[in-house]
Amino acid sequence: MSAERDWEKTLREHQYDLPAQTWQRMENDMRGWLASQARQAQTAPLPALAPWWAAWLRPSRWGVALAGLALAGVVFHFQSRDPGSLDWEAGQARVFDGGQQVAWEDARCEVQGTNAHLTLSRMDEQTIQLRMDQGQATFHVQPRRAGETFQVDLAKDCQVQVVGTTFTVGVDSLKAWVDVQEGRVRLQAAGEGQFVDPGARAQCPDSRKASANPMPKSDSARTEDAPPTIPVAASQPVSVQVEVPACNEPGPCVTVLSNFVRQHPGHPAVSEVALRWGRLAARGGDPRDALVGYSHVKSPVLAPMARLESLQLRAREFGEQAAVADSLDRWLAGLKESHPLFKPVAQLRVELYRRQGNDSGARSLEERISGSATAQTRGR
Amino acid sequence: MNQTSRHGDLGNVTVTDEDLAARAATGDERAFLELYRKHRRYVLTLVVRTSGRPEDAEDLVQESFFQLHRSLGSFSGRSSFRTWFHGIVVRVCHSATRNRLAQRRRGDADAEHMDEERMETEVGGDGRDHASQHALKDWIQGCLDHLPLLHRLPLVLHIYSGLDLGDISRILSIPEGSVKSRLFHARKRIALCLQQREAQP
Repeated sequence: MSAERDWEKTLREHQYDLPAQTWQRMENDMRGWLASQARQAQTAPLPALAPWWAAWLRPSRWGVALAGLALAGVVFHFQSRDPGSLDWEAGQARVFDGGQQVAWEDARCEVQGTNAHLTLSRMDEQTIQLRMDQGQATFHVQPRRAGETFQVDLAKDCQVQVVGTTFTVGVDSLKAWVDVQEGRVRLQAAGEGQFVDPGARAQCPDSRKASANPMPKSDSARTEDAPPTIPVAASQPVSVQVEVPACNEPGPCVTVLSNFVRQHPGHPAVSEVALRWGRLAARGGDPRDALVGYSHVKSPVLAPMARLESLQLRAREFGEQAAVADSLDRWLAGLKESHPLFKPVAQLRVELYRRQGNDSGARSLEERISGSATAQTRGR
Repeated sequence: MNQTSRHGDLGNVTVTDEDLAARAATGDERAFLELYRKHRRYVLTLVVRTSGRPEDAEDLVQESFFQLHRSLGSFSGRSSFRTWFHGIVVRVCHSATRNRLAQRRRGDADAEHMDEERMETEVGGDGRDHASQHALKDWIQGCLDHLPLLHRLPLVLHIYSGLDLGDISRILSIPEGSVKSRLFHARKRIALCLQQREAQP
């Protein structure tokens, strides 16, 4: 009998469904529940955690909890060590790959590399000098004090010097370049200096033709240069090369970037490309697409910036003041005032305080912002 | 269930489940409701088939989405959203089953519901009285409902969700070989059940 053969098909074709009004009622219930969750998170965060704690207090969870504590202890131990104690001494080379990162003492610099061959050329109280021989790495450098130098040598006579910023550098067989995500960097090449602004890329003169090639200006370099070829992570076949799109203008570039992110979710450059996607979509007047782009930024170095920009969009373009204010409050509670993102995060919160008519909240936070700025100035 | 969909509420932007989940995790209620609308019918079928209790379906669907909302922060993207969400739905159904059985052990009023028997015990295909009055389709569904949960769950995930062995193995946290074996036994039992129908006068 055919039923014996087709019973799977028969089952598949018979899907349960409910009347439209039942679905509508359930959706209304869901909206109500979501609203109550949002209210609970705003007004009484601790009771909302109660079921979570109850689950963790079950005896079977204790082993996991203890293991977690032990792991956190180990992580804290290693994070609190200075670079010297990480056995990275001056003159020593290290390879950063597949999302590795190093948090140096007081978290003033983080590195996320992609097959990045870095050598610590010099490391003392005033100077951190690295040499990059190959690969790609994103640096998140917190503001340096007066007289302190952070420098990455990309090629002979080509260095990136920063005060406090986030930028990505790459070196391959053809070129060495720098992309700036935040702040400003100075590219010193062949005796000439050039400032590179956020969103821009500058390239070192080809070391083989260093004297023949003048250093390109950042904007023209960004649009006219061929996209850089970045070696993929070591876990993938070495012969495979994936081209990272280098475009940086709204319009068709957004589609190119989003396609890259979707087609290469495991690519080491995906976070940087997703951040560019979000920014260009926002600049091009498509905030929804921008939010999608930001949501793909997973790198611990770039994700906080994506989070901030996505909150700005949600507050300014979608009018989600209450939810964004809630997120900002939680973020600010755990954000050190010395962190470079503290000021922009706090400023967005001040803006929302003003919109909500809470002048005292805005003033109080503004005092905190100016206090942190004073402390930083004093520190320098 | 497509990985990618277009939805009027989000204009012309192509949005994947993973995108929606990421946005919902940041507190975007609209993104969460998009996920809800997109997956609720499918979840309904899954919970009815997994729990065997259509009367509890609404509650289980809602509970699945409540759990989804609470767990969004832990979605790391290692598996697809679809596979990950399946795991949540299955856990919700398991939890409901355990609660009913606990109630039964305590002697609650509803404890003797036949469906509860079906959830945990091996029913030897003696569903003749139940199914004889129904059409073939209902008979087949009866055969499925009479499978022990152990065998029914992989089959439901395979038939209704189209999941492969690897995904089912990850969702149920059992080796792929066990999934294969349970699917084999489930199919064998349904074939036996269908033979009983043929044997009926």
